[in-house]
Amino acid sequence: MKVHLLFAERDPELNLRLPPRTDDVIRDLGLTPLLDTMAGGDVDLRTQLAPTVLAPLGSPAEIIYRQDVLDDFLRMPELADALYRLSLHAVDSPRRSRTWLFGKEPSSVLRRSRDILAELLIDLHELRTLADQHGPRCSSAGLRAFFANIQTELPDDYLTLVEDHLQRLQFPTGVTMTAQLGPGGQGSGYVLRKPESIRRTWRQRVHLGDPDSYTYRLPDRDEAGARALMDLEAIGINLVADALAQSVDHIRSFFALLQFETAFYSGCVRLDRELETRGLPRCRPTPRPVEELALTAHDLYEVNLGLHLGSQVVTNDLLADGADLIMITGTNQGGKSTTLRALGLAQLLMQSGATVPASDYRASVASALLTHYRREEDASMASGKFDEELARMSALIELLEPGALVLLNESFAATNEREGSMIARHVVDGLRAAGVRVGYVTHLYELAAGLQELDLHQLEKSTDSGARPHAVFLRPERCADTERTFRVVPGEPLATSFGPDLYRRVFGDDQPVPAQKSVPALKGA
Amino acid sequence: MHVSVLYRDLPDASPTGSPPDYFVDLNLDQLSTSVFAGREEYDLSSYFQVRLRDAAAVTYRQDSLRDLERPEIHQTVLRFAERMRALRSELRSAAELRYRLQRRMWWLTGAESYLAAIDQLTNDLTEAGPDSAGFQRLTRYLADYRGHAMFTALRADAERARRLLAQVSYRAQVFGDRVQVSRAVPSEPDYAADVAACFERFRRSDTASYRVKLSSYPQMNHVEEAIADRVELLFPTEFATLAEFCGKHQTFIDEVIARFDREVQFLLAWLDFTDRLRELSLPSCYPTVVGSADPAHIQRGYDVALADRASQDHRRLVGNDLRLTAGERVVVITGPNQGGKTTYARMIGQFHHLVALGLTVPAESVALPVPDLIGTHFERGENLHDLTGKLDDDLVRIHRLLESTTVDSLLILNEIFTSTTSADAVWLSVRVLDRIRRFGCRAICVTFLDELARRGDDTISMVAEVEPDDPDYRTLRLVRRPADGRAYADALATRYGLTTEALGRRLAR
Repeated sequence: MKVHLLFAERDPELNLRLPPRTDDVIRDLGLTPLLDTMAGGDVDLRTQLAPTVLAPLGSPAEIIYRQDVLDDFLRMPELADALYRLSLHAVDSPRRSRTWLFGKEPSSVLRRSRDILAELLIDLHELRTLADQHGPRCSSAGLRAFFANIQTELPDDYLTLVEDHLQRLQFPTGVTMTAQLGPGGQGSGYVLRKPESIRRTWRQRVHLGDPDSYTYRLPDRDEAGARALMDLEAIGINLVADALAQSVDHIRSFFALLQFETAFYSGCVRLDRELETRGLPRCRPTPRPVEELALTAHDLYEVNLGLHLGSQVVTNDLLADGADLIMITGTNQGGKSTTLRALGLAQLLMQSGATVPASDYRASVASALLTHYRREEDASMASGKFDEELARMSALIELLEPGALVLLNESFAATNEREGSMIARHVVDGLRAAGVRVGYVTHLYELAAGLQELDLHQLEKSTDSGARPHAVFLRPERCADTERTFRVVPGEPLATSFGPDLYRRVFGDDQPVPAQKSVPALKGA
Repeated sequence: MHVSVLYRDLPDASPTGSPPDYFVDLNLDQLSTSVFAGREEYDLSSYFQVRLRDAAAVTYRQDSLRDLERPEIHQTVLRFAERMRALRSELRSAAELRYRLQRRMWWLTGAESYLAAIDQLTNDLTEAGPDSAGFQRLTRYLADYRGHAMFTALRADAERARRLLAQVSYRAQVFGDRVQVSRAVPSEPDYAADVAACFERFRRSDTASYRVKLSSYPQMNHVEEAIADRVELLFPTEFATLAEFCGKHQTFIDEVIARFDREVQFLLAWLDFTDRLRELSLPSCYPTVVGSADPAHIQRGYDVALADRASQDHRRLVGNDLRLTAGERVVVITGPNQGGKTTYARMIGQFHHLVALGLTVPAESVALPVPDLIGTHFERGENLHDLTGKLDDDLVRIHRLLESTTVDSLLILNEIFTSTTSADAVWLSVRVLDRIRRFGCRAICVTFLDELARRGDDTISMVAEVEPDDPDYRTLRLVRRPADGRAYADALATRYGLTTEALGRRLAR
């Protein structure tokens, strides 16, 4: 029985090792609130869906497969949740079983497995019903195949057969075995034969085989004999109890898989609904191959902020097709980091197959998604902050490969601008040469200016401007009266980060301090 | 022709069961217990206690031992022994179990084990091609035996009985307090497999097994018996054949083969023992048998019982030599206490015994005769039950010993006449020793009386060595040297500052 809702050809690994530095990505992009929203506060659901979100897919085809499935779920919003709850119910069945312990006796093993199987049968019926009701309304390859598989593997006569086994395994007319003679004359090679399904008395019983038979009846109060008969029964029961208990495990493992896969879709549906309720745009993104360096988005917003602020949230357009560097310079608190985060979240969501917070989003897949953000505190203080940054960047480099996307936020700001720019330039040049796509929010003017100059220079040299990857420079929008809109628009890096704005706001004026003998006069702003 | 790996000819006296008198003195009793530990069921100590009479008998047994050292022969004999042990266990069940069917079934299984054992041993030995007379005789015997009418009938009857019993297949339905027994229907499906197949569609990978381990007992309980009785009613022919088999073949183990099974364990035990000695880096060799009037030697020999204990307690072992010309008959051993004198004397005694058993000894090279008598006289505690004194006791024992002594005997005397003054001891010892010398037999005498070492050309002197600079340190080596007991005492006195002059100096302050 297959699920194959996350992948067309295989099962996901339930205990998958997440990509290295996932913790950084979670922290830097603010994934925790997003995952909580998707799970609707349900901790177990969150645990089930998080791995799928955090393990981005590498090919557009895989993403499209999931998007198609998600489309079906979005059209039938209760279905994902219903499948998830059903699987949870099934996986949980041993806890509800009345028979608590696995005893040392085969009969206990049998009894408990029978109880659990009876519960699971109800769940299998329910699953079949869902398939009958919703199968015809699905158009995605994934869900069509899934429901068709359910109908093929769980037809009525199969479910009846399971019910039949449950009856027979009560052994209403006793336990029948065949055997041969062992070396000392005892029975050996015991094989259990099919029990009857209906309760009968001794007189009424029907037996196969030779009409010649001999019966031994225990004398009254023969306790040792009763035990001996029970031991004999146990031999036969042992064989089928094992088979049944393993089957119960198999069924539960199927439902565990279903639970895991539907958890993701349940989360995506919930997120979509939350965004819709707040009137926020969302879209089915278009994944492109990594070589294309596609990135075009309209009305992109940071999803956590969107959930918080509703339709008031600031949106941005990003036009960066063919760009392997997106650099955002400019005002503090101008919306730079938010924009970078919005990009990261959208990319992650696209690459897990979910809808994306934008009115349209078309981007190349990244082979890996990594972040390098400035850390506020280095708790151990073992090294200086700059050392820490360098060490962290070096570790990051190890994990990068062509086609990766790395988001840097104020990296190398822990030293003076000149030194920071020089090192950052090395890093950015190196990353771009290796085919890594870079998003960089920074104050480092010399860095930005240098990169822009390089870009222009290359533009002049080449005849076909679309052929080599270029850089896109953005900065927070400024209106005439220095009001900030928190939008980010294309623009050259400016030598100032509008510190004076902030100074005036805080101190009230920018009159220079009167010159004193030993203090050189300040240059005008 | 006697078929045996131990004996060239039928031994004229069966072992008496009590070990020879010298066993305890030479620590051969301890050695015997140790060597045959784990093999008590074969009762091998009797073989260990009776010496062979002549060189030919010794060579015969040595050759068998050599063959057994060949890996292919060793392996097949081990496997054969294992099968025979299993066979005996099966026949024990056949004798002891209460229920007749069980007894008969085990009897059949026992017969099958026997047939397999014989086949395997015969085939393997024939293919290996033994070199020793003992194993060759056995191999020929086995080949003949297999062709005998009795054996072929046993095989055919066992196969037939087994074939019929293998067809017995019955059905038991347990229902409440009853069990109904009928013949099995061949095409009935396996229900446990059906159940597993039903849920196969959910399987993703293998899961743990939930099969409970159920205990089973060799003896049937009365319910099992009742079922078996009914099975017998359903399959009368098959069970009748079994009964016929048991009736017809009430004994089937051949005497010669049974004897081989026991005798070969003697050799196997010795091989295991020599393996243990090899781990201590001790040498091992097959002794050459010489005449009692010929020169004799032991090169780098070790006390065997001591070597056996050394594997547990890591004591220091020292190898020693003995070299006697034809005319040298008496060895007088003197030296300091704890010097290794008694150990040396024991080694010589042990070796004479082991040579006469046709076994290997821990030494580099050995040439010894097979004595007609080994007599020992070792220091014993007071005999409290006999009111005669110890000296009297000693004399009586020696007299008894000398009654059977001939020129081919070996005598070992360890510290005789210690319970009297040395003047008496000298007088008595000289006379006893001269008596012994008149016999012309080989004698080893450990004593503190160095006069005894100078009685004649037929007597040699061996001395237990001490380290010259450290008289306390015994090398445990025996060297051929004139007896010089005084020198040791002198060295001790010097060391502790107790010589006359030293005392003079010390007391003259």
